[in-house]
Amino acid sequence: MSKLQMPSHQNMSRRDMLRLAGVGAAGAALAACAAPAAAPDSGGDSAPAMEPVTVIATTSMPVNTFDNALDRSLDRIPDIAMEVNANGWGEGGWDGYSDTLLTRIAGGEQIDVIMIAIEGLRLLTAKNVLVALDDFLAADAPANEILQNDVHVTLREMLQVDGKQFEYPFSWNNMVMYYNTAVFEEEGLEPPSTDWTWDDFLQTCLQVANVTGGADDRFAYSFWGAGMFGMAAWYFNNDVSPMSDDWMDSNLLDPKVAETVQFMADLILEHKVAPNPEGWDEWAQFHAGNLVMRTCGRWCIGGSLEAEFNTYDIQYQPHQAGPLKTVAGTDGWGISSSTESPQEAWEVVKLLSDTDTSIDMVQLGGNIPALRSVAEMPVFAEFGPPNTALFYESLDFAATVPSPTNFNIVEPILNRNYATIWNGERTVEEALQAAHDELQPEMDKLKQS
Amino acid sequence: MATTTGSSARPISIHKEYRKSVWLHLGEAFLWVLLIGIAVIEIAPISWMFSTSLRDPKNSFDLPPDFWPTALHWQNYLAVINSPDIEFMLFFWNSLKIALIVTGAQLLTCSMAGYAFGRLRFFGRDILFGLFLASLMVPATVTLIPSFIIIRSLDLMNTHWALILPSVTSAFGVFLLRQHFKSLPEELLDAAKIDGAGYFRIYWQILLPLTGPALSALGIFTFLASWNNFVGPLLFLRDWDKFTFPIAIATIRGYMGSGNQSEVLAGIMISIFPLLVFFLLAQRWIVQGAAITGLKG
Amino acid sequence: MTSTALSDDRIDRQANPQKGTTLARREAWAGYLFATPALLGLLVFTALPIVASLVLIFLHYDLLTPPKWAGVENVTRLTSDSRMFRIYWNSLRLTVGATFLNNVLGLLLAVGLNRAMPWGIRYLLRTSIFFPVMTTTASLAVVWRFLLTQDRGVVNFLIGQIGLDPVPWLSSSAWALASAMIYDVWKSCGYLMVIYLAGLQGIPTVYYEAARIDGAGFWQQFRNVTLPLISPTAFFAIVISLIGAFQIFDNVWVLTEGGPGDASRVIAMYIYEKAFRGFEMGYASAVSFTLFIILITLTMLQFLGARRWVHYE
Repeated sequence: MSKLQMPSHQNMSRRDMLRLAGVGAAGAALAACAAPAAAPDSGGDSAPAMEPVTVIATTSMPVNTFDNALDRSLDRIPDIAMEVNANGWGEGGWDGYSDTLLTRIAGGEQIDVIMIAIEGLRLLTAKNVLVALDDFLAADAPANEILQNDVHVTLREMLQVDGKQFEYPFSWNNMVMYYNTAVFEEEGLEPPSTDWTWDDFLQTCLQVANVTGGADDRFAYSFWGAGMFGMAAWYFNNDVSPMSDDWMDSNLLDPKVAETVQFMADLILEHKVAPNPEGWDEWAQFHAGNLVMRTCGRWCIGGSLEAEFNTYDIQYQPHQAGPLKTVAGTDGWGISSSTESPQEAWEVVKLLSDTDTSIDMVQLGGNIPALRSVAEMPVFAEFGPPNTALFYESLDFAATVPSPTNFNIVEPILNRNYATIWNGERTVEEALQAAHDELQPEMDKLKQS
Repeated sequence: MATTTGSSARPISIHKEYRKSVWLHLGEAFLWVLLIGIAVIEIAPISWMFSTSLRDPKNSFDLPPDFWPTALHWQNYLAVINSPDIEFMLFFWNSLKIALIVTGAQLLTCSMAGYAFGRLRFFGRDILFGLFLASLMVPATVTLIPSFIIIRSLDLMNTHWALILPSVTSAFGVFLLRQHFKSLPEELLDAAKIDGAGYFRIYWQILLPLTGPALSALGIFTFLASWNNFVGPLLFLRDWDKFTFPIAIATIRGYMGSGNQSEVLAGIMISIFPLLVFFLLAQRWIVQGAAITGLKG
Repeated sequence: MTSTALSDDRIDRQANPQKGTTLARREAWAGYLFATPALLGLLVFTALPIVASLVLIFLHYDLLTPPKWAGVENVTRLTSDSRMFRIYWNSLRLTVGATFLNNVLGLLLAVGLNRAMPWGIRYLLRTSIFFPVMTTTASLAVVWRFLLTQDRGVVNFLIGQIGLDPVPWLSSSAWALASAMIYDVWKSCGYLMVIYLAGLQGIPTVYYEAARIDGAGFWQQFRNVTLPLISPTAFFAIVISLIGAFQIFDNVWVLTEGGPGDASRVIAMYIYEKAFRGFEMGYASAVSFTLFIILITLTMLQFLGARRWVHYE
């Protein structure tokens, strides 16, 4: 959901497949012409075209998530030649993703269907890059029906701006604690309980860590140290947010923000149970057993499947104050305002967020599907650790990740300043004050425009 | 100049001779230590990369590190080459294609202009050449933003032309070859002119063959610069099947998230392997070329 | 450089007195024709961008919506951009450090290699030291990032073996820039070595023989023969390494992403970020223009200063 953890590289060899897909689509279109009755409804009353319309979708996910969807598109939307390509993550998470996307659009590239998460949504709507989906939904009862009944209201509303639906929800994530069950067993530790506290967590860390600077150093926990999503996982469990509730002001000077960051900094600097995040490869170290716990969303299951690592389980983030909360962010598919074929784009949006595509994503260890019906299928439990049910259950107390319109400016400011806390060069107060002094003028600028 | 050492009149005592040789030996020793030490430091990261690229991915982060292969997990290389996701061979081809076209174009345009500025006289020549010299000082960073806009308005976004066109010529190349053409003896040309050779024939048949070392120097370094170009692809290329090596590898760092250090290192090894072979085969010319680009100051 | 160009012209004219005007006209035409391809490239991809960025300075432009007139806003903003000054300070330190180390090391290595030694050893040393020059900056920076990781990183493990504390190579403000510098020196000192080697080989041995007859020792030979005679080479090497180091981008981009905070952010990266992350093309152009002015001034100063220490034979 955030940061670099989501590999987004595999556009490439898809090309060949897409070329084939194009040929196949043309063939299918011909077949459809010969037997018009067999042509599925493509959302318009126009006759199946001879030339398939190319619709290009861009995504943050590994492109192979959509390999099967590509195959299905040949049958289901034969008059559309669908392509899915990866939009780079740039230098960070959804901020870098949005910047790359805007640069591509500014470069005049054809992009018809856009995946974006709530973090980048307002930036895109402010630049008029997306069209509202309400008219499409009004004209498409089945799609609207699914959106209203099979997608949790929290997820649905996350992708609305000013009451308009700009993205059709496809998947979402929260943040949970991943832990190495083998190490817990070895250390004689009970699995953490749902209501474990920061204190419990710290005690666990102290017990499992073994850091001497030698070849078999083992760190208890590591976090990204950057990124709104990863930090909110901790803030929210201390009943605080780095931004005001309307995301229009900095809330960095709240003492609870400092308390949270101090707790995290102490893991690195005082207790020395966590590594400095810079250059540290969380995935590999977790799988190699050099790291016992880490915080991640469901997409981290993908890496563990690939590495054939399965001695782990998940639990909610430890809790400090206020009601139990988990951070959540949703992504979905929307239609670019620059597309020349909005109707076809809408068909692609639907295909790329349907049940089958959601199952494909689940099987690759990707995000949590937005469709409740898919999360309730056995396949969801099958591809994940024993406690997998936690992922979807947490939705009832999920809180939205702060996603201001200028997210691409806010995120780098926070990240730059956090980094000088983790390396011990500035105290938490100094760094948060500096971050606030940089952030608040940007927010004021936003309010004026 | 050497005479400034002076004091040759003073008789050389045995004591002084002894001291001098100690200093001589110390200096010698220092240079040997430096040479060997630096050579080791230069090669160690590469041998670490090679050794680690051969480790089982599960152990890729294990300590202590290897500087000599202890495992022979060649599957990493196969995995990279056969990966449906990362088409290294395609990146290789893209990088090679662009580098070859750019090198060819620069050799041609720079040598032509070098001939014009070095051997022909025409109105405004020195002013134009001055412009080239001045543009040597324009950092690529400054032209980055307008270049984006120019490439966009030429509708070349996400094509290899976006990398090729801005590099079809270089002020440095023009300068280098102009100096070379200038240094060739005038008699050569006089003979040709008496034979009635045209300007193109003089350029193509007489001057160019005599410019071998300078041309190969320019060629090698143009090729390297293109092969290494990072900002251009970062800005202009979007599709993975158009990527060149440097940008693909920097992006795979994000893909590194999935933790397979050994495979990433195998990928990097594959990307530098052609250069390694080329270097070992053509070392003499490359080193000579590097020297030529440096000598013409 | 311009001064040598002019003096060359003078020689040209002496050696080649004016000929008939038709011939001169033909020659002029040929000159224009031969220069055209390079000139076109220069105009479109250097001159035009410079003019364009001069215009951009006075605009607010985000690439997506039509540009708006900004007046001198982007220029006045420069004076209050404290981040920019900090980042320039980084660039300056990186440039001076990398240029100094590259040239000193390059020269020493060249002197070391330029002595009698078995062919095989010379080959081995030269190959090892020059090879990183042939590799890709961004790719090898990925490798160095693995090496320099603070916790469980390779370099820290090795220095831990000899009893030293781990160094926060990439994560501390004190070291991040130094790491970028170390990487740059690792990557390019071989190139400088080769340039100096060529310079050294161009020094006639008679000078050394004369010095030896005068009783000059190793150091005296280096000081009184090598240094003055290598100075034109050194001048060129310093100029190009300075311009190059000021524009370092991919090195830092991969190694530290400019962090922690802004500790290793360099000016080229800042310009890129202002332009393609903040989409402030006007302001990014203004910053890039300051870089242009600084580099031109630096180069001019070097040419002026060169008179004091560069000896031409």
